[in-house]
Amino acid sequence: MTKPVYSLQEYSYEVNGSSLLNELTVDIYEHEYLVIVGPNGAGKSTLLKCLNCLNSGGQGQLTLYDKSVTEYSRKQLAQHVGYVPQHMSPSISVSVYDFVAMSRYPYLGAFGPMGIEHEEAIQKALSNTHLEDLADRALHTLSGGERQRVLIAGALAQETNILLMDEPTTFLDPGQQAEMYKLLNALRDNHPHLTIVAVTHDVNYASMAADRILALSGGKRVFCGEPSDFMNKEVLDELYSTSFTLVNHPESGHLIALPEQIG
Amino acid sequence: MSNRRKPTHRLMGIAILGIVIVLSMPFIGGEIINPMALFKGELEENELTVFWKLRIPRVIMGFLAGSALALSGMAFQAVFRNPLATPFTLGVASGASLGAAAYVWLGLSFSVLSMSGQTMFAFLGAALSISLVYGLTRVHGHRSSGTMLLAGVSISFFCSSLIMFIQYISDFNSSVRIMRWLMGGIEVVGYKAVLNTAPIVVLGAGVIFYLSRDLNLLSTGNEIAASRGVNVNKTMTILFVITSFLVGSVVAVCGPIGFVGMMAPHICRMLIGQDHRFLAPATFLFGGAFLVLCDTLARSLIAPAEMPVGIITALLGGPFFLWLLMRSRVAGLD
Repeated sequence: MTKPVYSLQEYSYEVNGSSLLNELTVDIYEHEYLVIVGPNGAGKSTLLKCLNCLNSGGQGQLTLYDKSVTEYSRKQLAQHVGYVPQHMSPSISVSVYDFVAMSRYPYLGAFGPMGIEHEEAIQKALSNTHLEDLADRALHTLSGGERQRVLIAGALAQETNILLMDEPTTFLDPGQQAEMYKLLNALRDNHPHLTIVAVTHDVNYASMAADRILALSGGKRVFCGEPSDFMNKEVLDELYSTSFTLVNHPESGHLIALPEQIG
Repeated sequence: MSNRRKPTHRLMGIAILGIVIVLSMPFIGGEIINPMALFKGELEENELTVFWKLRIPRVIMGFLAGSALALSGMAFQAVFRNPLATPFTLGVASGASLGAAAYVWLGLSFSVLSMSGQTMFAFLGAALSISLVYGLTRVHGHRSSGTMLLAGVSISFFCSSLIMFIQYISDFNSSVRIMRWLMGGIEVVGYKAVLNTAPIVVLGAGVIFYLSRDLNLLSTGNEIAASRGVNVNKTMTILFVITSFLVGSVVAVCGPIGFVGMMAPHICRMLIGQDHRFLAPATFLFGGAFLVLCDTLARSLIAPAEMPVGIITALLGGPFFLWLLMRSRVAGLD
């Protein structure tokens, strides 16, 4: 954790009078893995979109590398920030390869073929997400999990130093989730400047993988700190308005949050 | 890997077909002109007049109109991600018609920098329609294709009613002019209309070709496009201005000609794929050549009389399009 990549100072964002982010102050550091958690409607995705400048009109300060995000052109921003949206339209029918290839846009002119370095970036993104065999399939023929991997491949092919991921593993089965988490770890090991900000509902994963956890509720910061401090019954119960039971993982000793018992 | 099934061959095929159609159609009509006689200089004076003053400008105008409408349809389908988005369903063509009809009704006659007043009025009508449709669908933040098409169709009906009203209150002369022009047709004589339209179509097509990669990204969604570096608002604005000029300049001269703007991009998508770097030139060539072909039929079938070309585009294109629909899916329609 060296210098802040993103810095938010009393940053607020509202739509039609309802406040989605409320005077948020947080710094995100280089090479950090920050996981954002919180109940539905807490403003997690909104924050991610604000970081990617997809929401305009926020109040307060939001800087990327000491410069307001609104001062970047879309193309400049796309060279710094890769974004994995929650989902994409199910009717898109381009091929996996073509979709991932489009991620090279911020480095390309209007015409002309792709150079070898672009081809390599695309291949790397496809192999990292195990999509080589699906490269020629049309997106609308893929399963939900496969499409999610395509979205991740798209962001990877952009070769940015910052990755913003909005629930990147929601549609993945447990095996693929573990695979994805390993991939993110490997990427971080290989890229000393890579910063990842991910939104998730999986508090156990968040506590295992994250360097820091930011918990939002009603657009406000209710917790920001070490995972070990986050795995606390009071914090969790308050955040999600339910009752967790915390146990130690039988092998690793990590604290695991078990959901409320039903029936 | 970089030669990943690029549709270059198919694009070449469409280009060759287009060139053959454009080069051969001026010889066909109520009277067949023998190409050999033309090259040997054996044509009579009146045949030469028909060839150079009527048929050549008409073929060029037909090509410009077809390519402009087809490219506009392609751009609309990409940015609205809806296969039914066309200059007609979005009310753009009706807006342009209303503008042009108003120009006739007001008895205006002016031109600015070789652009006729009628073209400018048609452009304004088209631009107003697309701004309304886009504005309406953005009121609630997220655009829905349904709202957009409903807005477009409403604007279309609204403009048609206004045109009828204008016709009703116009004097007999203007009324007939408006009615004949509303039927659609490429009845140009000489090169004035061609020279007025060509710069707009060439420039507009150039800009759309230039924005191929942007169109590729926009057709996957605005958020993804923006995340990959597309300035979505700026690109949309440019595209709306360009398509308004394209549709406006065509409608001002030829009246509303339907179907090309919907059918040509879909047929090309089925043949070429979805990469706009190939799709845009293919749509340009296909739309142009198709309208030239239809117009040749329109002026030949019941020669010396003519029928409105819109009848042919729908009669010829409709069944072909249905046949294609049965064979393969239209991108984005499920």
